[in-house]
Amino acid sequence: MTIVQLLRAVVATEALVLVLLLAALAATASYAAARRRRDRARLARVMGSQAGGGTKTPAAELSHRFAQLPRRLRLATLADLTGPVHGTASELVLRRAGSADLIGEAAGWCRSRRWWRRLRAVRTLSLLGEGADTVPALFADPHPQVRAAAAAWAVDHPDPALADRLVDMLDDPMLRCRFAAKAALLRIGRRGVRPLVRYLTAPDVHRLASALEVAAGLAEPALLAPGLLHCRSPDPSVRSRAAEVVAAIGGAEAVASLAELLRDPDVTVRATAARGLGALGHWPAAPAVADALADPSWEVRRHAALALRRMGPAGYLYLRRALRQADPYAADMARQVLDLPYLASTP
Amino acid sequence: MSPSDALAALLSGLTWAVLGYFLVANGYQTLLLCGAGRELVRHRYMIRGERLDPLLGSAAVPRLSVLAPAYNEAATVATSVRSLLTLHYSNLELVLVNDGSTDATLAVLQREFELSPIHPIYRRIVATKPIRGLYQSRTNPQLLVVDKDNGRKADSLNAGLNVATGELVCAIDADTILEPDALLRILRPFLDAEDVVAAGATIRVVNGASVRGGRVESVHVPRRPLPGIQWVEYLRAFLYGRLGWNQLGGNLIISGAFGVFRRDAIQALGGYVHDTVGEDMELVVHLRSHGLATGGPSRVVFVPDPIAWTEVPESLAVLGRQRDRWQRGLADVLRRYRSLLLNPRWGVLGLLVFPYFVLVELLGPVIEGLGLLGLVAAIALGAINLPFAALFLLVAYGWGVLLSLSAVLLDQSTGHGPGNPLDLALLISWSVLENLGYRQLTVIWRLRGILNFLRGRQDWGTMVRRGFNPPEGHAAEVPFQ
Repeated sequence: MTIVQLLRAVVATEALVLVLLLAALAATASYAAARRRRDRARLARVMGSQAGGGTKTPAAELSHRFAQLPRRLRLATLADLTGPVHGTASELVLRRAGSADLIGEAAGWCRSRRWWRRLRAVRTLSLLGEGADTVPALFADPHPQVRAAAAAWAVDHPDPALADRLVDMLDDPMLRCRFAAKAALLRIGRRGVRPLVRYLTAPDVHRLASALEVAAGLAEPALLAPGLLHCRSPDPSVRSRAAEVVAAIGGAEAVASLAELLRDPDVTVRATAARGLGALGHWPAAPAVADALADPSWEVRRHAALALRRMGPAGYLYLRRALRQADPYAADMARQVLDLPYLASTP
Repeated sequence: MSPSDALAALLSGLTWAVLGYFLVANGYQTLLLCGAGRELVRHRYMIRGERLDPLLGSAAVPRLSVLAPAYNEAATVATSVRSLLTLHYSNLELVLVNDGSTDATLAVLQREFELSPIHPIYRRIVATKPIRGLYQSRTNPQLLVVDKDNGRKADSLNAGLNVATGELVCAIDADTILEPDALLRILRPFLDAEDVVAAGATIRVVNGASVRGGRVESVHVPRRPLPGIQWVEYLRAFLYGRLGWNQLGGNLIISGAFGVFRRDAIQALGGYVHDTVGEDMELVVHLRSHGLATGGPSRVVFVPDPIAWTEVPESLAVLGRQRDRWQRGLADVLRRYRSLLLNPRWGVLGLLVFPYFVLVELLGPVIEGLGLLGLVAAIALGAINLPFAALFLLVAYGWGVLLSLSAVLLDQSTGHGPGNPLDLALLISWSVLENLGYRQLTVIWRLRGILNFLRGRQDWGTMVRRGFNPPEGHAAEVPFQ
């Protein structure tokens, strides 16, 4: 075959692919347009049923017509209706009406060999508020997206065992799952405290950072003891997170522990401790915090100065004293903070 | 050998070189298209049935600082800021940097958002031009305004970096319009893996769309050829160019119009560099190479569904200046990091990604230009087989059309494609017409860019911005930022 013949063959192939592409474009565009038109008409019929006219009650008529919509459209409508606020009247009517076959189908997908089908199943069941029998098994799914979706699903299911599963997921090797578990635990609030205490006091935990972040967000008194325990951890990142926990909860023991952490060898821990004491507004700790104004780290000096500012008159007194200190860095930081106007009060 | 024989041999050699280049370049493009198709399928599975509202209300999302540089934007700055403040993200900070505007940009901000001077204590980790003042809005405390001496976009972003408090920072252009849920969508890769340092998103052409209150209300393919063809170019560049690289070794470019980065990673590198016109690409290559060299995080991901809208040039002169600058930026960055080229130490980055940018993106116009010149010379001298030349051109441009139409098809499959048949027909027309004149013009502009780079030119030129829904005949000339 000569090169000209080869080029002719390529041009012919390109022409064929071009025709196919144009056909595919026309087909997808017209299919999408037709589907949009059909969906609008179907939804208009469902919404029209609310005006009454049949032998059934408006709600029953609405349910009946909604149940006849294609699955895709029912799910999309439910997703549009639920949004961040759950429990509206129309959502409840439609959810009941359109659920039966969707639940069955989604429950079947939970056992699928394809991860994306299991993911879709969890998301569908989350939307419908169902899946208590099938979704918990997916907390151990091999695909991280499915595990994360299962964690998000658990938020609306007040089963104490699920809170345990969420806390266990804080130790997941995948960031996505740890994030989902953290977000879910913060949303379920007090339900997660008991398992969180269990997790934080267990001897063989690998990833404490996420759990301590949740503990700081929840700020429940029951979490103080584990927080104080981890303030003595050999890992500086754990001590820093633990300092955030005790600062969020407060109390005499928290103050004592934070004051001790002001002398920690790690910069981040010292800065967190200073910030924590400021957040607690514990003015008797002002002398210890004022000492941190001479810290070699800029970050620690900044947090110490802002903490003194938040402590009120006692803190201001130490800041003004620092202006006359021999240490120019401490004096400079004190001056900057004393110059701050009201709006900059938050660091 | 007689001179005519030598010329014929030269032209023949050139023909084979162009043919070889054509095979390599289109091979890369076809690989990218396949990668993009695969990636798009995976992405669609991932987002099907996904709900963003739990993320919107979550206390666990990382703080994100949007850095928005503004220079002489008095007419549009209030609308842009309002639009940014209403983005769907719960832990958002907006740092607007007034880059020494000579118009009333700062006064407008002060009036519209009740700015108060503040004196936050921040560390000047990255060197910038002097900051004249810092302000916080009384009505929207998450809005921080940095007023500084003029220093161009990179300097403004660096000033914003010093003041920002977010774990993540989002760099945008002054004229970028973000879809309300764009930040929640672009957050995904940062929640998926610890080694992600940056993420880019799809940039679309806003010319032809209807914009109200800083939001795109309805989208239409531009009727004018220049923005229409650029619409196709953007589709191709983002939907299969950048998406394909996700599968083939990661991206080297995140558009300056919209990208999200880990703040500590940028600060560790000293921020954006000032002495280049390709500062966005320089940052990404620096982040990747630094991460690989130190064993730290280095992944750069493209996410197709967050969408940002940008205005493209509508005149040949402005477009030419823009492409000239892009080429100079590319050449500069590839020169700075030339040690990566074909160096096995950098893995896929050095062996696959970098060679593509050198051969196809940088040297493409040189080879294409030489090929066209050689073709004209060969025809004039009767030294070429005419059927061969015609067929070769048909194959080359036909392949280009197929790639463009494939991008349009990918776009249709995402559900963001044009909704009405007229728009689709226009898009197909622009895909075909792109090869008849426009492509050759871009070759000239890019060649000019390479020459200007070799001469050491560093200016940015000016962009004529029509603005969104401007009064008839209104257009503002502003420097490229």
